Amino acid sequence: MTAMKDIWMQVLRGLKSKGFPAACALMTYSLIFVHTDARVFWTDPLSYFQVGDFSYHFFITFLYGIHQYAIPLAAALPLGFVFCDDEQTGFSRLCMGRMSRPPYLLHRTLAATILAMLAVSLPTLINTIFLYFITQGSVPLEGWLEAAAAGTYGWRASKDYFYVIVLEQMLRQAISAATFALIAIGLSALWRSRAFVLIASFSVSILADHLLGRFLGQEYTLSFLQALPLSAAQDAAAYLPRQAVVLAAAAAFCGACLVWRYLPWLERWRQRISPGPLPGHIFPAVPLLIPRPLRGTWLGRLAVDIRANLSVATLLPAAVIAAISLAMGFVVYRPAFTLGEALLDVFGGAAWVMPRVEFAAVGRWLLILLPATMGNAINVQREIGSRCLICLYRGRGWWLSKCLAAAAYALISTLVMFICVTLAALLAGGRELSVYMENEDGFITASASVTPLLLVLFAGHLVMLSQLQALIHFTFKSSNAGMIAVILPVIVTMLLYSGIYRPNPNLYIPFNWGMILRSELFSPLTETVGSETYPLCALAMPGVLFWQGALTALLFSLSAAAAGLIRHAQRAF
Amino acid sequence: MYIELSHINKTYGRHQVLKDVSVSFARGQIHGIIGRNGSGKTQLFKTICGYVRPDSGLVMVNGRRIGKDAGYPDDMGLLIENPGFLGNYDGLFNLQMLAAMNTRLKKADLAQLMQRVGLGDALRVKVHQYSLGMKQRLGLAQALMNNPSLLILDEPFNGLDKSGVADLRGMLLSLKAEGKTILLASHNPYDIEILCDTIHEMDAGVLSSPQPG
Repeated sequence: MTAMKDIWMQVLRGLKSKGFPAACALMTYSLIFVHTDARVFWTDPLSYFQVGDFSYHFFITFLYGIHQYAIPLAAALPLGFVFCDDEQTGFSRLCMGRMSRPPYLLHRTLAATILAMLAVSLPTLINTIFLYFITQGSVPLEGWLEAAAAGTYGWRASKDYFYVIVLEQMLRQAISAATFALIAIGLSALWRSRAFVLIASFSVSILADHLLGRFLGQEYTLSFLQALPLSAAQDAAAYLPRQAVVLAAAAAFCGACLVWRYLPWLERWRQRISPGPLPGHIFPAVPLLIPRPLRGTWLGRLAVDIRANLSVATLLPAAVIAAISLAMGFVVYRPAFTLGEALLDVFGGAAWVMPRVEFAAVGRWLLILLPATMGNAINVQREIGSRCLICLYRGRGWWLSKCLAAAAYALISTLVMFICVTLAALLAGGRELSVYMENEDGFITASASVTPLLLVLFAGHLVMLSQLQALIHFTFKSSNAGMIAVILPVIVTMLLYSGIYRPNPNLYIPFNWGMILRSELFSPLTETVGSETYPLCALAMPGVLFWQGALTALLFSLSAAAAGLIRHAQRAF
Repeated sequence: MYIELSHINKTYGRHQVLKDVSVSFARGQIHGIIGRNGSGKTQLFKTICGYVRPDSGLVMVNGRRIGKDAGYPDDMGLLIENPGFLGNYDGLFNLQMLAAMNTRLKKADLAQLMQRVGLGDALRVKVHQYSLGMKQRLGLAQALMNNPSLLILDEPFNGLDKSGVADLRGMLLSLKAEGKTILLASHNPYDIEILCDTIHEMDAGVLSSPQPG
């Protein structure tokens, strides 16, 4: 009875958190995502749903959606951070005094899993009911049910038994959510950082999909199992045991992480080898390399701010994410490739030839922007928080020094990612830094200038974004606002204005978000149809670099103005 | 007078935290502020050090008007609330970073300072492994680092053990002997009585007239 009460309280805790509505919102967006591609959906949704019956709309929601990316995040958001939250706040110490470790761990794991399933299933259920009622009397799209009946769904693909497909699909989604919740919980026991749990859950989902697809085959990937295509080789029910195996593997991973973190004798052993607060456990300090004449000057303060930003906790994820992004690409799997091509694959952005940028490309680009964005959010939050109590009065230009440090951090994290990708590509067999590309005469030649330009463009882009993030973060005193200011415009403009067939709107993407693949080097600037000349998505490189610099300077100046206007010292408390 | 406040008022929303505070603090003495939690002691200190701008009134430190002639008082050491040290670096490195901002102190000087506040054994221990008392000592070390002539200490005895309290009392008296001006807030009347030359009581934003210590 006490156990049930504790689990229920944890479920309530998750329901009352911001994570649960956020997860529901994310899932809802992922469910309507596929419809949003049709212009008529925005202008006349009723007529949009009048074409295609319930089965059609139900199938396309899952088959062409973005669940692969949404479910890991939605599963982690409600209560996936439970152990890092409890440890960070000291709440775990209060709990441990009231119950032993096994029930403490088990109850929270169960509650987090239940909430993840709920956060994924609830929007799915609402969406299904909505689709059922709105498609009553609509014109069926022939062929979908027949294809499903001939393929994996068999006897279920009929009007009388379609509810079985619905129930099975919801079960698949719920199992998938439980799988990712267990992974997130395991990760939250490993490292006490919400950002790490979110990034790592997302990365694990992509990496696991990639590895399972590569070594076992496409029909073993998580994305395949959670939304079966109509033409899968076996009966739909046959895939459920596979999902159960994956769930069991996730539970084993979670259990191993919890054992590593909480098993008493392992904890004692970790304490013994870790440098405790006892004298004799000496840490070698990394020296603070500031030349003596600079100490006490604003340059000294800047050096301190840059040094304070450089922590393993923020730079290590940058290296890991760069490696994951490389693994997600296609270049390293080619029999022959150059280091420049590997760098281009990771930092070049979405290729201009795509008729529209798909969510996968947007997700991959955001992933590569994330380390600098997360690092700066953590660093700025710390500096404008309690640390300002001991730093503010030590010299002038406090905030401008932080802005410059944020720019320096963006540069350093870019460098870390470049080095990581270069080393990984080198190990995978890549050589030379040049990129093979078509020259003006249409011949494929090696170009050595692309790689440094790529570095400059991407680094410049991150520096520009770091200034935007710092300005918004400081002005609104919210790290979330700072991160949204960076992420949201990228998502919106990439999804709405990226098609080469919608020429003019491409110009609204600020410098094509630092993507060299969408510059004049890889894409024509204009297209001539008959007598008309249309601008394409590409921008001229010198102009891009100039405007990047100009906008960075403008944002820095706005930061200086904000620092003059905002009484931060008073606001900080 | 070294510090002069005249007719200071400060309101947050509907809550007035400082009500017409006028007070002077002489140089080279220890001045105590005593009061319950939430009485306005910390707000008063933040106003003196320039972190909080009063809605009305004047703050003068060493002849300079805070908020006009200077943003913050020169030559000041500060310990208010929980200072935000970088948890994943050791105590000495944290002090090195702060020292590099406005001093040219050597590492050896900082190590000596840590020795003085009782952290000699914890120079190389990461701050997140510090106990509450150790963090308080490190906070004191950063406040004393520049050898300031004005020390503003808000509840410096919090988290200190018996010997730590005794050490700090001795240290404050020796700093006073060196001619430093110390503003000290505490909710423990005993600390204030034995250390301070003048004692003020703060209650609901109102500061009483000074009593001799």
